Amino acid sequence: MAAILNIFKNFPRYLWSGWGAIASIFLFIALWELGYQAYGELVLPAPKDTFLRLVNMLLHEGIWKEMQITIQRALWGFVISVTIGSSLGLLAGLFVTTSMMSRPLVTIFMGMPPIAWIVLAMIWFGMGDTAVIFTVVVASFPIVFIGALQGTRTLENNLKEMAESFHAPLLMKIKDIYFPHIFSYIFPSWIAALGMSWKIVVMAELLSSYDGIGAELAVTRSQLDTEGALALVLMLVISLLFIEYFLMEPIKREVEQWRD
Amino acid sequence: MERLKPIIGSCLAKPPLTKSHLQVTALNHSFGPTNILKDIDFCLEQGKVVAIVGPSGCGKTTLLHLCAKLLAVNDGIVDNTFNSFAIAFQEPRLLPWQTALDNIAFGLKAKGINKKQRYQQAVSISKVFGLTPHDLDKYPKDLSGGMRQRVAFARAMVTKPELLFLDEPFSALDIGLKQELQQILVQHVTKKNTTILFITHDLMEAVRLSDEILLLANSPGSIVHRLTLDTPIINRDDQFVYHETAKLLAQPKVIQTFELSMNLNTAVEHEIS
Repeated sequence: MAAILNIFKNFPRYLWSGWGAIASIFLFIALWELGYQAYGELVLPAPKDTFLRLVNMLLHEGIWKEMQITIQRALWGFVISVTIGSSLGLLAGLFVTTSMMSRPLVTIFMGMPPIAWIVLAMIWFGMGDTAVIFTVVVASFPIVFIGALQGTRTLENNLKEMAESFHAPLLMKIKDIYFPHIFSYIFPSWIAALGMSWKIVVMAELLSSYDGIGAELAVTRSQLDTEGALALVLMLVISLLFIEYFLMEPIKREVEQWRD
Repeated sequence: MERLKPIIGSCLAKPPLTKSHLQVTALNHSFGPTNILKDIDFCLEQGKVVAIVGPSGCGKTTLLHLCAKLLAVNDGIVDNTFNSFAIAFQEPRLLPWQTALDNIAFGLKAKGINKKQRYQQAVSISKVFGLTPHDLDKYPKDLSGGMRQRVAFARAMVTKPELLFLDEPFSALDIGLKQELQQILVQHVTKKNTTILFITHDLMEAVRLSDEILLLANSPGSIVHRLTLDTPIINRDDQFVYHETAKLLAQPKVIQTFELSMNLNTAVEHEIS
């Protein structure tokens, strides 16, 4: 509870520290403008037009509905991979044999390009939600799994011994020693998995779905609507930045302030 | 049962005890085929400080772990009648995700003492060990090595243990800090009449802080020399410590155990060549 309060308390100061980031984003937009002036509208539409198009999309073109579909898929995929990845990773980490056995499997999962999974998913599940969510899960689950596995494998015997010397009860050992340690590994992997879900969901939708932002992107491509495509990309990037910097980062700062 | 009969270092050899004691009898320990400890016998009576001295890797820490029940005793007897004990480890072993205050209160929390009381006790002992209220809010990463060791000591002492195990807790500290912490510890321990089993590889430290010194030789670890110091710990000055250490260093067993003469000879040979 105190942690949540702290997050809100430190939020204004955190926001204020964002000026540097904003400056660098504006610099990026300036370069974009330069690109537009050099190559013309078809290759790179002006930032201003793209932003206006984005606003128009949000206000008049019913993009909210597509956005909602995409967010839902990404979140489902994220939640499923976090649940399965964390629990399997923890279990695997408890035993030397399982952790040794799971390593190469995870490498295979990680090494397999998501685009290949999409093809398989389309064959197995057809076009639609399941194929998209499946792809998201397959791509982001190994990240969480590895995080959980490493968290459990690296539990320090020293601290366990210290706790035992004070006859700490099991519940206290779990709460004060095992959980914070494992969490410090799992939490960053959740953030990475969220970013991954966000990217994969659009890619999967582009190929294996008739709705969602990804499908909209496919439409803009077929119509050679560069401005529309950029506006959609902008929307994705802004939403990811929002989640990353307004939700995840403040939480991360609070829960990881003990770190070097 | 032949091995279990009372021998030197046994409490039973002396008049019957009413005080608490830690009695180790015919203790052996092996890790797999490697024999770590062989026929260890000693007795630690209430209010006394026994130092176990030996070179690195002679099984000192294993012996301490056996006495503190962190390792299961397979061969021999460890009879511990003290009601409570605490350990100060070689490294501070603080929880990095908890503040100094929470770290000090760890042992109290394990005992089930409520938050308000354990913080009160933690704050009051932290003053004894020279920690400021400002330090107590810090995470271990923001504390210096010496400060961390102070926190570790405070954590061990705040539970008011009857028996305190010290596993070379001064070895990573600089000489000034070492003396300061030893001083604090001696005062605190004399006041509370705490019993200590002290493990070190530093003879001078052992002479300064203990009533009895047991010299543990290497592979397998066995006690090869015992020395009792009668001067009360609080009255020992540098003169006494230097004198007694020099005397101890002249003992053939000590020279052999720490491979002193061999090293000296090699050094001399180097010098000549």
